[in-house]
Amino acid sequence: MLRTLLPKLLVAGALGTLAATTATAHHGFSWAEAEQIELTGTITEISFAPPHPSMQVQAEDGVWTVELSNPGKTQRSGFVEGVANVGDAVTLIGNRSKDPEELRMKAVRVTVGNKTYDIYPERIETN
Amino acid sequence: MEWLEPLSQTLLARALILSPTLYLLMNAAHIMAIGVLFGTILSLDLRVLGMFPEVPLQSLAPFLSRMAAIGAIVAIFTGACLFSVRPHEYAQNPAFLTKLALVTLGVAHALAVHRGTGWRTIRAGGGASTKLRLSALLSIMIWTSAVIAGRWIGFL
Repeated sequence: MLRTLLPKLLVAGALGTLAATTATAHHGFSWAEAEQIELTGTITEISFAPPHPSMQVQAEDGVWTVELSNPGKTQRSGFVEGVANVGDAVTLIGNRSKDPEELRMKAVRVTVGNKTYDIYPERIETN
Repeated sequence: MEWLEPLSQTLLARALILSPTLYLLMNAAHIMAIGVLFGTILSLDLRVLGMFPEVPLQSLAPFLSRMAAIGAIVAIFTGACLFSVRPHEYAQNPAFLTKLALVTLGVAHALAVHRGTGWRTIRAGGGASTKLRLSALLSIMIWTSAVIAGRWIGFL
């Protein structure tokens, strides 16, 4: 019985994998455009939960998934729980996905109100 | 899966979210437990399949299976802690669900083997039966698949 169940499970897992549409966070920047963009919108979801803090931002062209850095690096930038909440206006600088259809970016700088958080200070190209 | 969300509000989940160091230590504990579980099971399975015949299976079997059980308990506990941080997300992750099914299957299979005559024979000093060897092969397949499914969680 067990020997017939295993292949079924593996097939189910493989099918599930194909059906999955959500992508988790990326390491590095190789998946993103080299040129940085500025994005303005409203936070609709925010999570500092490891392994990858992230937020959803409603912008003019749709809802963006904004990836931050790892929990430690994000925390050291000062961007921690409580400094930004759902409903807050946010301005982001970062690198967007190379896939033009995908509304996804990795933020290097987050601005909420008059506060600026440099998540990847060494990567910020503006100014 | 919304009903799982309160898990992320527990004291432990909150601590893991607020402290990246605590999270990485929990993560390391999870990896060590998997290392113990997989390493001891693989060693025992390979011995049952005929590798290192000079090592007595009679004393190896209870030692390695108990180590594997300890590894499994710690891995499941630390895994539950890591799960609590993003329960909603993991519960929708096909790789996570596959891993959970494979771990359940692996544990059930190990318990079934322990109740079988093949296991009793080796505990009494006898050799491994063909059925026990097949079980060893199946065990390697299940646990290897579980580790792969586990690693896949972050790549969907």
